[in-house]
Amino acid sequence: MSERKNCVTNYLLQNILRQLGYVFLWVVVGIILVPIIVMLLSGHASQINVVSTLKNFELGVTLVVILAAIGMRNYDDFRLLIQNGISRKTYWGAKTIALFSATILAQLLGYFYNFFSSSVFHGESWQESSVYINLYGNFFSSNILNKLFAIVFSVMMSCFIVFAANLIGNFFSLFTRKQKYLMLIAVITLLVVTFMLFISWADQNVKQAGALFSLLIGYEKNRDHSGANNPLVPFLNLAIGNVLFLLGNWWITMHLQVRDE
Amino acid sequence: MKGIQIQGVEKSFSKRKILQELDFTFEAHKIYGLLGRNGAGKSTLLNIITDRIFATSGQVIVDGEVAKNNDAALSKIYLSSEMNAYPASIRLEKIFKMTELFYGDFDYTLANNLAKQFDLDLQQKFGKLSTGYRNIFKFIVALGVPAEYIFLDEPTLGLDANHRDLLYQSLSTSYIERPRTFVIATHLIGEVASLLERVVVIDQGQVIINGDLEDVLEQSYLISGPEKEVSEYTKNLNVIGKERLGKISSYYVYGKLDDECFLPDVVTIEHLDLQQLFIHLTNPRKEQ
Repeated sequence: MSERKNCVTNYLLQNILRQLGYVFLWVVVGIILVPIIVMLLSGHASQINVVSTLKNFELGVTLVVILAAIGMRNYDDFRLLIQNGISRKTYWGAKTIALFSATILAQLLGYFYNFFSSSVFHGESWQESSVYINLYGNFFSSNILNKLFAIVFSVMMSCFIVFAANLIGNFFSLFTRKQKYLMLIAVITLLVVTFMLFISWADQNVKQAGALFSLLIGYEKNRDHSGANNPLVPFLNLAIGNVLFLLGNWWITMHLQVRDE
Repeated sequence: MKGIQIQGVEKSFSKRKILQELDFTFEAHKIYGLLGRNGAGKSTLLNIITDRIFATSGQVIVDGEVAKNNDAALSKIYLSSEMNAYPASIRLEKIFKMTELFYGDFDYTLANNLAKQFDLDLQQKFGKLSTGYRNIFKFIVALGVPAEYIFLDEPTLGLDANHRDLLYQSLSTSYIERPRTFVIATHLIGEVASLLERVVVIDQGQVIINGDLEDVLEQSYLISGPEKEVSEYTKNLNVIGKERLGKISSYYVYGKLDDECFLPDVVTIEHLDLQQLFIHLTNPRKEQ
């Protein structure tokens, strides 16, 4: 990696982590402190169960959702970097690495927190709450391999969410504020209509819909009870999705221009 | 080859041509004046050179390298313009550090001295600055960066006369200490003229003048006298404007005079200054 790209990556990563920390503090206030204060004020102090809140808190998921929201904000970074003589190519590479690193860090923190909460508060271990472990956790004969794949899967899934959000934010960066509002309405309408059509189709074609769903998640009828479905298909789906999102981001970044606003 | 070459650059915005096949070079280590009326395409050209927007066709070459998507070329350029790219919540001294991070170096001594001279508190946040102080700050950054080509788009916007004077002095001093290319796009032609070595005039998307200021002014004349004699003397010359006050006519001419043509005693010739030349070159109503 060139020295310049290294500088930009460090800058973006620090910026992302600062924003992540800032938003996370607000989330903690909103999810943990506000309910406690409300209960205290309403005279239901006996119902406060901090341990239960901490036990059920999904740190990894929360951080990834915040990261996805941060990843949607692109234009300000682009404008600052082009002002400082940084090309679109470098910006794309640096942003991708920064988001990827932040996602891995968020997942690691999630796992550490889960380990801490299951040991201290006797909450669910990550294996118990992991969808992957439930569906594919017995695919390999080695337990270590199954757990390793579960972690890789969660990282890929998190990247999928963050890169998808980044793509959406990047796409909207191409347009002016007014155009963005109009497009947002159009996109939401389109998504709702598509979803309704899909539900209607699935309702009339239960068998095909089931087959499609099974194909997407790698579900095998004869193995579902043992949690030993083949994870290859979901891994492939995520890999293809991530590559497509990255390519889409590359294409859009190469077309980003400073807007006259 | 040193310098910025503009090669066949065209730009259209929804069928309207803003720039029409521009072909010229900004030479290294010169101070340029980029002049044009409102909407002539100056800012559009600067945005294309710095890769902020794309040309419809053509390309920009910086020291022999294509500028588009090229870190090496873009790191040699800095544009200070109306666009506020810096985050509003960041303190000014942090922006110096940020600039150093991306450009690899920054002249803190110069920047701090200039901030003192302009009475600019570097502890302030960028978003809290007035329009004038934002421009002063961006100008200070422009002088502090190690870039070889500095573009200043309306650097004096919102500045009072004292600050404008200080800005011109600082630019001149900085240029003498570290020669590099400055391109100043401004409407305050009279104020900036004494700084310029070369001048580029854009009119309706085309370059109509590109040359040494001295040579350009050497070919700019105001020829005055009775209408008949002045009109006779200038009939083969490039008349760019006319004015009439009672019986006296004034013809503005750009180009070489005809040495063989007889100059009547009643006709006087004097040179134009840059602002007069600009007004008549870019005035669509040639006769007033």
